[in-house]
Amino acid sequence: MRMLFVAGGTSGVIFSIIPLAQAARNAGHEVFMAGPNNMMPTITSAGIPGIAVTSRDMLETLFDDAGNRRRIPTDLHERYIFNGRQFGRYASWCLEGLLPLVDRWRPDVVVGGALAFAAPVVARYAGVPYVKHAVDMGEPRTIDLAAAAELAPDLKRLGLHEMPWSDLFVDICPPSLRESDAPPAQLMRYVPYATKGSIEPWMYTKGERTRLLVSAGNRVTPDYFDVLGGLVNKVSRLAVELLVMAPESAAEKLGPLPDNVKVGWVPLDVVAPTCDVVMSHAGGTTVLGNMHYGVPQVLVPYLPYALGFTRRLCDYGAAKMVSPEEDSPENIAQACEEVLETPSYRQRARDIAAEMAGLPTPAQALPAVERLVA
Amino acid sequence: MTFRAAQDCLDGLLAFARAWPADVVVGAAQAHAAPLVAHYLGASYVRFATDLAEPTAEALAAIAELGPELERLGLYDLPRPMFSVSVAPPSLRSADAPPALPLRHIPYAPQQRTLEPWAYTKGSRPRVLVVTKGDDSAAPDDSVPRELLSAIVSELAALDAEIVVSPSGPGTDTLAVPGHVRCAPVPFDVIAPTCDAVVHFGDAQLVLGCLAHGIPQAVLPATRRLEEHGARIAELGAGTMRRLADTAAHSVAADCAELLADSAYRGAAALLRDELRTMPLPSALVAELELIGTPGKAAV
Repeated sequence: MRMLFVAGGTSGVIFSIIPLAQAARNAGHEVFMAGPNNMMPTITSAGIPGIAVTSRDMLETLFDDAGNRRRIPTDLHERYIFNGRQFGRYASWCLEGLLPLVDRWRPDVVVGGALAFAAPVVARYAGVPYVKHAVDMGEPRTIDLAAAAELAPDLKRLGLHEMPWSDLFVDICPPSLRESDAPPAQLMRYVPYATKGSIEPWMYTKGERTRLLVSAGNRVTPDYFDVLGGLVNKVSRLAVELLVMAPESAAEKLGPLPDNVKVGWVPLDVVAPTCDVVMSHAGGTTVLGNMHYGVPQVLVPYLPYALGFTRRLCDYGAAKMVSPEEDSPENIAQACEEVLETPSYRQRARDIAAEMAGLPTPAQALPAVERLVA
Repeated sequence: MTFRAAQDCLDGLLAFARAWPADVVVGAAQAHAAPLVAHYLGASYVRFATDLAEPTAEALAAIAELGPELERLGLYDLPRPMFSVSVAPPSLRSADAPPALPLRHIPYAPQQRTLEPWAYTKGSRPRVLVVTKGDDSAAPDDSVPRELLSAIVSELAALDAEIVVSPSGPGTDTLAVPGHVRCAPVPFDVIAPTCDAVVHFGDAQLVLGCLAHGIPQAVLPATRRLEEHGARIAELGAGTMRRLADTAAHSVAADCAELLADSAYRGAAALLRDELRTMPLPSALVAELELIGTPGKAAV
């Protein structure tokens, strides 16, 4: 069977759909993954054939045609609409390459990452089933609606009146954290995946000291450096080991580091099992990765889409939230301390890990996709 | 990993094992350090025959080299695997091969950053893929002379078929080919579904890759070691085999013409593909590994 995976525009959302794509390959199916040209190394280094369908990248959705940066609204609802339109624009660019691709290489099914809105459109164009694959624990539905609005000219061109619905939803959110009105889904175990560099012993071995990981994600803004710098200062006097997961360039900017602090790019799935607490900006794959390994978390949801699942994980008791307006190094350090000193966080983190481990693996979820075609 | 390789790996492996104690060690059949590190950890060891090769009496020489390492670990022989795994389909396994759990071979190839549409799109003419092998000074026995390779490609170019040369191995990326022949590296798993015949030099991954896709193959083994499986492919009717040493370029082209013209080859290749497809998938094998890796179950 030929399966076309359609990826979103950033590495995080691609990581989420790689395990099912690899499971499909390892079940003997022909698998291609389409995405933007700048994400090809992320796809191909996972052993999956990658097809570049646009030369533009996700960041360009922030600029108008004249090259001016669009103003990001502060009102939450307006911001969701803004985000949705970004994803709609990205989808429109992808369609330019996707439509000719499926004319040449006819898929039997299209599997799209949740925010890759070109997937339902190209599936309908090819006349094959569309599988929506969650990339995190759910986004605000306003984003979907705004993306559809942005794609209206493309839909019209293809004779469609609305966004095609999915024939199957593959969800990676464990049942305890799903929204009460979440649509029916084939549940699947989240498998942490990240592109690997060279792996050093300190990454997978833990010393005597408590290990605290701060994940800065891909977006290290100047403001965030103040937070990181403050944190480094704060913990340098404590008997903990601090790992700052950030691009190598960040290490230089942070200046000379005390010997209990390391900065660098570490694959989360390698380091997470050794961590006592992880603080992050609540990126979807980071949060899920730590849940998989039963690690309690401190979350600062800078990106508004993460607010919903951050709250649900905090209500569950496996994480503590620090709101972005209160992200001082003192507050973050205090939250980390609270999580370390309160055993229930670790226990709840282990509970959710056990629940996730009981869900069908990608290989076990795959037949639900195969049945759409058979 | 043969001869000295196991010794060279062992110290690093033991240090790694102390830091990251595995529950199961899966070792390629020739990786003799694998059973040693498994023994050191008290972990289950699974021997994985990743191609068509079976343990040979020659392997005993490599194991003999490991005498000092065995002594160091208090062993008198290489620890036996809990079980073996083989990707060889029953039709290609020799009758005296030791028992092994079957595993379906899934062709894997390093991917490229750019895939041109021609790589996965079939034209109107049949497509013949030639996967080259280099003039390898490090392994002269295994080399394919460049002149012969060029001559084979030139002869193939005269067929009424699209010829694609996928260079692989030292020095083959600059191979001179006739103007209408494509010469560009392309991942085998991507191009295979578009191929009607494959010419290769006996590499087991390609023998298996052609079987997985049901493609007739013209096998030109450079060494005796690689002959056995080519001979079996020919015997089963799924391809042809000629020893490279006594091969003329025009006879390779004649073989390919026959592979394309006589549907019996495609039929036999399809039968073998179907046989491969009845073998258990990697996900089924993982379930077996989980079972022996579960603490407390290893003794079962």
